[in-house]
Amino acid sequence: MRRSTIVVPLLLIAVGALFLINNLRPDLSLLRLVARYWPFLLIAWGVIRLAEISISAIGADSSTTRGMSGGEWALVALVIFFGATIQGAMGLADNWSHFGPIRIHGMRWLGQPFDYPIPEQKQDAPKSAHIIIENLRGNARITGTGADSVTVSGRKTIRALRQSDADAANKQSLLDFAVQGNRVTIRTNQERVSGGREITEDLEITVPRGTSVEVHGRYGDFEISDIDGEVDVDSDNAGVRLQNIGGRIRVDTRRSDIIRASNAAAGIEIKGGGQDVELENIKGQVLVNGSYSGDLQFRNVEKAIHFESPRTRFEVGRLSGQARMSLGDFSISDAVGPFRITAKSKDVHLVNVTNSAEVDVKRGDIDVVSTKMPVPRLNLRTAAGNIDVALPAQAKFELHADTRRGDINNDFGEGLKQTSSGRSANLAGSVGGGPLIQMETLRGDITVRRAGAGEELGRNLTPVPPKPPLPPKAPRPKVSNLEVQTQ
Amino acid sequence: MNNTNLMSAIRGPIMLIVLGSLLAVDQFGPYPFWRTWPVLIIVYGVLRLLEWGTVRQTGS
Repeated sequence: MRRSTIVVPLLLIAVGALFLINNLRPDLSLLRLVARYWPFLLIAWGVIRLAEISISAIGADSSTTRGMSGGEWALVALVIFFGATIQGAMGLADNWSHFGPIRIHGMRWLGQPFDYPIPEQKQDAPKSAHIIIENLRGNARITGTGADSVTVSGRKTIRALRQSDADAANKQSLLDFAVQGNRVTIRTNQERVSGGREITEDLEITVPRGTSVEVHGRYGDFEISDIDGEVDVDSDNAGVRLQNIGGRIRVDTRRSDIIRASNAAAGIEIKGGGQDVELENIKGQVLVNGSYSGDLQFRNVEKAIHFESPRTRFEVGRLSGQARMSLGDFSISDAVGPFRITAKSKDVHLVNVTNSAEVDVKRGDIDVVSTKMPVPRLNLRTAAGNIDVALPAQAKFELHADTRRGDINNDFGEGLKQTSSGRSANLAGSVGGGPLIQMETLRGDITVRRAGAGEELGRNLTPVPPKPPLPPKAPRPKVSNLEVQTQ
Repeated sequence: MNNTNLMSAIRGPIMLIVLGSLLAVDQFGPYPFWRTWPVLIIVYGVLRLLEWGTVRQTGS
């Protein structure tokens, strides 16, 4: 006779105990622990079942060795559902930090938050000082002003069991604010406090406009504006918002919900990872190197853009319109080539890209609309997808198009000669002579047509397709204590 | 003890452990689950491969 698993009774006892403790001692916030550590329940479950199966396999009656039943899988699905739900609810309700390796610090979630104001401190500093800010957890807003001084103020939150613990932690982690010659350091010293008490600090800092700023953090947002010097941001997890920056910008994040920069007079370099990136009115070169899972938008960049991620590379000489990239889609409008993109799986839309454009995708459609003369030199390749090129009616060009499996449609009848054999088709020839347009698809149709009036309008803002469904994962807690403005 | 039977029996628990680990990495580690889920397919494939191997062994 088959003996059922021990996991189910254990699970029932655990669930009962959890609710009982939660009812009797609500201050322990056990649900918060569950919300955070529930994936380990699945691991423990698997380990227990593995042990059970091994024991019964070694035992005499080998017929009891069975895998997990359908009912048990249903229970697993239920646990995942509830785990993800609680995690999501807690994630929205609380802005805990999460970073780095696994830290079993149950104590961190105990207790309650105590608030301490950080009174305003002010020190004179040279106009071209270098300012270093270290705030491990919490937000910081740094603003340049016409004054010759640096001011710091803010608020500190300490999570502790007792007021006395929090007071002690507050004394241990007093803000360091020092000016030495050209160097200004602001340190929150959160790392000095041990015992798992969690400290977050939200800082408001004003600095002389001409300074350069360097910020380091683990978790929390940075908002920096009106700085004429260089800006350097380094964080494990941060939303970064930069505005009116005169010097070179460098942003390095391991995770981030958004990196936004507008009105930068010099170059910008972004690396690491995150979700959304938005760059607007950048006068210098843009370098992006990392993996960003959300939407990327570039608008009005006066020098070259180089973008490189594990799956996609693109570069463009200058961008007076905008470029937008999401997981499966790339569109760019009003750009000065040479433009080049290599991607695995993306639909690519080009509107009025001048000079030359080179597109190489493994899977995805390519469409090009060009309403200006002269037409750009084009080299378009996709392994699986359609290619659609719309050119001005008076366009002059040479063309060579090839599809191994598909049809070719041609609006520029006269000079182009079409041949087909079997499933493949080929179109080649010259319309007045001009830049070479090369197109190749292994599977898909090719269309060469005359651009309709105003076709480039309204296509500049190709809607980004909906993101793929997310796994059972809670929305990441957002830090928004500073009421960061979004445009 | 029939090895093939054992192999197919431990498949479930091992998949469960891997799933739990990926979700834990999603929570604490650098990779979100939507990037790591293919590991599940790979592990499942490896387990089926091992099972196939034991069938051949017992068969010969």
